[in-house]
Amino acid sequence: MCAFEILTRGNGSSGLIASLSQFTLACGYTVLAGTDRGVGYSDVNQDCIGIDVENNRIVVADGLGSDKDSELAAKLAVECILKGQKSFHEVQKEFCGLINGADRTGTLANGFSGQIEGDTCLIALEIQEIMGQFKKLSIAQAGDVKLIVVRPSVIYNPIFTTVDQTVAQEAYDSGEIKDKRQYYCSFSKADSNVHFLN
Amino acid sequence: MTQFFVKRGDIVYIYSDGIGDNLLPEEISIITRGQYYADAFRAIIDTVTGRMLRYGLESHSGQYHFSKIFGPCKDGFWQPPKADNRSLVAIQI
Repeated sequence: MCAFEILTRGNGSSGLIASLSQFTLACGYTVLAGTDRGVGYSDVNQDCIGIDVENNRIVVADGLGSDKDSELAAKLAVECILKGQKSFHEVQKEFCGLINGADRTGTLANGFSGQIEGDTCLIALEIQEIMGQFKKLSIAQAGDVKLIVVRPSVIYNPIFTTVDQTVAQEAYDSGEIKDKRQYYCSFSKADSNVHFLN
Repeated sequence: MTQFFVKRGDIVYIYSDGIGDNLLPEEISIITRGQYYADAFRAIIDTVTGRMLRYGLESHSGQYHFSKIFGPCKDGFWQPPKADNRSLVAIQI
């Protein structure tokens, strides 16, 4: 059984900075992580961060919408990945490329907890050591949690960005939405996901 | 599964839509440019906090509807501000 830490709550508008945590992964990299409920949004934080320093794994989950168990779904999804109840490869195999990935994570959480009413988006990251200068990031993704890589030594950044797995992104890819602004402005991405799933 | 190779000096950010719906990836790159990762982390949070506060003050006035059609918001960012739960992880490679 590996040891890991889960961050779930921050208080108020300064919660994220106040609850900021620092970790050093086994591979030697430093991680800063924080979460809060946002400014003027709600009393609930449905986001959840899990960090397994021993195995260089990080999961960020975002419980979806107003379902009563979305907060729980996010936490359970993080736990079951970091506890190894689903291997990292199983997680990526089941979720990646699925437009309804967020629903599948809810199903995943259900498998370990019984019936819950809630879904979650997530990014699961594993950093793997490789000989030489480069390290490999393996990324499992569902929904619109994002991962980007910034390289200070180059002009154009970010050098890598995950592509959302949402209905809105699918509409953009298919040309239904032609302007990237519409993707962000005209669609409520999470709502799109929920409507699609329902 | 998506795979990507990073090297020493890179910074990896993972964030929920409470951050991502307020800042494009390119905007995150700009506001964190040249900063140590811990300072970059704070810069992202401070910017999003400012935008969320504006959202609370201005979201009901309707003025952000114009930005959906004509371009960036009046605060210079591309997306209208949005309040949401937020999570941010920064990894210094």
